[in-house]
Amino acid sequence: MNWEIVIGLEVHTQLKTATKIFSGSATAYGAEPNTQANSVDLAFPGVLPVLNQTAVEMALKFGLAANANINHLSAFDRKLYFYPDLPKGYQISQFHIPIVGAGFLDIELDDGQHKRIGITRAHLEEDAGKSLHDVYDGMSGIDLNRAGTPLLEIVSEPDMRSAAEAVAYLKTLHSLVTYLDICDGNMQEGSFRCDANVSVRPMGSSTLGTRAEIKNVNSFRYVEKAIHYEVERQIDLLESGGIVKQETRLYDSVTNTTRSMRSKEEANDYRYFPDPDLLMVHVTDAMLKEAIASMPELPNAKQQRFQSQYGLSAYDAKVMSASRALGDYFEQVVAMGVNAKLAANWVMGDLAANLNKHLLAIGESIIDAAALAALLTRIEDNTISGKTAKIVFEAMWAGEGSADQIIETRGFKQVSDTGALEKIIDDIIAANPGQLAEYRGGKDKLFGFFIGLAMKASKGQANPQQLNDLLKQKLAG
Amino acid sequence: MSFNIDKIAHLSRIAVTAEEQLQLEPKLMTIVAMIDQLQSVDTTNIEPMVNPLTDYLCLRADQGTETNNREKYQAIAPLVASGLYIVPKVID
Repeated sequence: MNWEIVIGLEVHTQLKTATKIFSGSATAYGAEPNTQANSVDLAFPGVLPVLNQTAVEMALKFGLAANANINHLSAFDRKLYFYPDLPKGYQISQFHIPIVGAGFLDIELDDGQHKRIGITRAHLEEDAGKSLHDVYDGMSGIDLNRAGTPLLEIVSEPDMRSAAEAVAYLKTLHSLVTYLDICDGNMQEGSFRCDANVSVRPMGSSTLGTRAEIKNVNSFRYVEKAIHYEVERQIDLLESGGIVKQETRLYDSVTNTTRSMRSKEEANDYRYFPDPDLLMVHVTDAMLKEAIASMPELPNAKQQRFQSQYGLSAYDAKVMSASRALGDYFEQVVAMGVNAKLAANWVMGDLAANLNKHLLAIGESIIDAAALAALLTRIEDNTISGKTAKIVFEAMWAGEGSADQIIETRGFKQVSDTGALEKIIDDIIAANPGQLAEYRGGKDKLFGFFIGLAMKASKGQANPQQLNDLLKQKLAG
Repeated sequence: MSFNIDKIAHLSRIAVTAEEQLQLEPKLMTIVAMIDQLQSVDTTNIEPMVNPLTDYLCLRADQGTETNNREKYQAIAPLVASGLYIVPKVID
């Protein structure tokens, strides 16, 4: 039988606020355990939550970018479950009326096809703390620094039909929230977490199969692998006469399998009800106007602008607009007078290779945009060749100084001085009368012989184009 | 309507004896009867009320107001180690 795969994704994005969603505690990652948890986060009796305005503004930005309906009035609910890293015994979330309603994102697949993925909703909620199970024998350690960190949970429609589509959607979403600067997008640190709802159904069927929810898969690659495994598991089950149970499963990246998760809470019965501590959230027209005014240029618009403004190819423009930081870096280089295509080639080539090798983000690059622009300017004004520039680039990366300093101290300056080049050529011609006669007799191939000698004599630093032109003149006599 | 009181008690993490269960069932029935009565009201075209107060939520600026008071908070915790609250193991 042919099976159709149906995937919906729930993504928890950690909002980039300085403080928690309902308290003034810091949200910095990696602090000493429980040093960023105060009486509100710890659920001391009598405390009350007060909503962080920036978290609301960030949710609005996302709603606008996802072409979504913004609910002018939304409400918080309590989601009840017991777990030691949830001090109140409930999580404050938005169940009945989320701040962001239905919208959509357009994704591009590897074959260049576009597909529209529906966004069901996006709602504000607080994160739970962290449980550490391996620290003490037979006991669990609880760190509540993360408790109360603002999250925007973005729920998609079950519109994806393959693991590749799911990954394309995730990458689009990841690029969007980082462009909007509402999330740092760090998957290792859990700032962008994905749960995948996966089911299969006979091709042509219009009813959905029973789904399994795969929890907390923390890289694009694992999302793809986890979905592949889960789809195979469900098809095997169904084809051997079994049934798929609706359950939560954990992906294990070591064994590349998913397994049933038993202990969190056996009943998905969260008994949501409106939180009496919190009034409705009112998004005023003024707030919405401000959010619209603060919207940055989004990836698709930037890609189109890079093509029209700088004449980049569709591919180059897409790569240069993949992240806001990369686009900014590229434009800074171009703003210093460097040719856009040359700048794009270097950013995608030597720079990207070095960043990858050292696991650095573009913002952490050893060579900043101004320094790269200074190097590329020296290619454009013929001080050095593109080949030499690669050596200078590596030296810059190694901290040997600016492009000009390295070119100077290493003596890389191309000989573009006509007088000096003429002298070299005259000497070579004088030393090789036989070859000169042959060349003039029609043996054109010997041109390469003279170029080689001249390059050698200039220690490789002759400006190739100029050398070429001068040599042709002189050989012609 | 009947109740699985064991399940409800478990969800709420409340210990209920067999004797209490007998008393609880009719009480819960009364509550459900009242809800049924509420549900008989026609609410077509009436906006759901989240909160009886007519004000909206006040928002706070995203500025830190709290400092580290871990020692004070943990002074009342039954068990603490390396800055963590220590609890019975919750995963198997």
